[in-house]
Amino acid sequence: MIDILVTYKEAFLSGLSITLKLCILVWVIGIVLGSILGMISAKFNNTIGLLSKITSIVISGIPIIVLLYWFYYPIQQELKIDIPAFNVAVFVFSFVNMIMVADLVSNAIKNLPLKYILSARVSGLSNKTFVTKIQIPLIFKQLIGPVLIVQISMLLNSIYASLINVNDIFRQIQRINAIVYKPIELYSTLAIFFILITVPLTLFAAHLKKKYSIINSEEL
Amino acid sequence: MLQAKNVFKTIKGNEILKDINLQIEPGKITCLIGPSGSGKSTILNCLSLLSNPTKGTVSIDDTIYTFNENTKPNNNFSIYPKITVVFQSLFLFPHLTNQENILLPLNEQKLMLPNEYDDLISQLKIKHILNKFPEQCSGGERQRVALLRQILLKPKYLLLDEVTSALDLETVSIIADILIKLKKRNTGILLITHMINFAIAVSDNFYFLDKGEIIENGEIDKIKPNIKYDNKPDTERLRTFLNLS
Repeated sequence: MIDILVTYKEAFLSGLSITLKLCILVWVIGIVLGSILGMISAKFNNTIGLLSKITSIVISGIPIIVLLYWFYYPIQQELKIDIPAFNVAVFVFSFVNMIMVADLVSNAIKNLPLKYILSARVSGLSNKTFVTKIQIPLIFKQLIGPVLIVQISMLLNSIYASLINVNDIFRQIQRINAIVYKPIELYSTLAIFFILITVPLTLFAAHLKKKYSIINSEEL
Repeated sequence: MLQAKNVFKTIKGNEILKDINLQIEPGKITCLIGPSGSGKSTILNCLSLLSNPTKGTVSIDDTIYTFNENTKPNNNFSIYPKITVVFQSLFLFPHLTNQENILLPLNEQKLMLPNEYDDLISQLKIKHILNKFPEQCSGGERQRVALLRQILLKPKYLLLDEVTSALDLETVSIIADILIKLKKRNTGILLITHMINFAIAVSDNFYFLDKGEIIENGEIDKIKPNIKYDNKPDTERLRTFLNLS
């Protein structure tokens, strides 16, 4: 398996670079837009918040590969447009990521314990100080673990993107396999490759989640 | 003076407070005693305007707040920390160290650390935990940090909800000394506690609350042990409560 990795390292690295490009775009777009949508949803709970919540429920019930296919084949055919597969993947993953992040952010804002608001109030903290020194850090610490786990699931899900037309690792494997025909070795190598990427990230996310989770037994 | 007049509080159809009349005078410690669930913390929340009474008035010195069922929640935060509260469940900010918890409100109010800060830290035995996070400390340590945080804000009215519940007798006695010093500086203190002996030792007067009603109130001598016949509690309910406490 090592010799396959060495022989086709350029193909692997090219695939990895496409996967990473996809992931970085998905992470940045999803987190930025998701955070903004989450804040708006928390503020307008009965309108945008409700719409966002319904979208989140619908999205979580649809396998991501189905979404990818919808956006790549039928929708483009129907609209008679041709969008590159990579862009479709970025759009679909970013949209899913945005909705999931928005749901987390909105819940974290709405569920900030009242006791901290009361405590800040009776201590004479201004609204600005409360938001910057209490609310945002508490929400950030509460969110960092779950948001990281969502981002890792985005990374893992990016494998689906290769199933349509994205020239990433999975695609590279198919190409190499067509040349050397060693499916077991190749797909085992692919699995190891993914484990090497995802295990450290998962462990890192678990570490951050543990570090930043709010351990709080105080009840109002 | 901090005063509640004809205050009622109803939550989901249940009358929690019934016609409460209570006053906290500057330079005096007033204790509020009563069985669990009698509405003591609800009175504290109403007095500090953290929760609106359903009916009645709350006066803070010359300012009178009148409430009815339609009164909107209080948005006048300027009354804090002139009135401040140490909650039963502490409410320290978990992402800040104890030191930061103490200093953040102080800096916000642009108050200098008082000269007796170091003395208070050592009296309250919290020097070794100043750089720790609240969750790394015991309940008693957190109580002392929470108390110090509010004391340093130099409130005119300090409302304390079971601040000694996790403390040993020696530390309770230290807290008693601190409260008496605050009283001498003209701070009006409301003390909610189940430790009757502690309440008797530090308070000037008392209110006894049962099932949301003030059953009896008066000077603290009235409920001191070995009382003379002529100033014993008036009500059988309070006598029973004191005997059980």
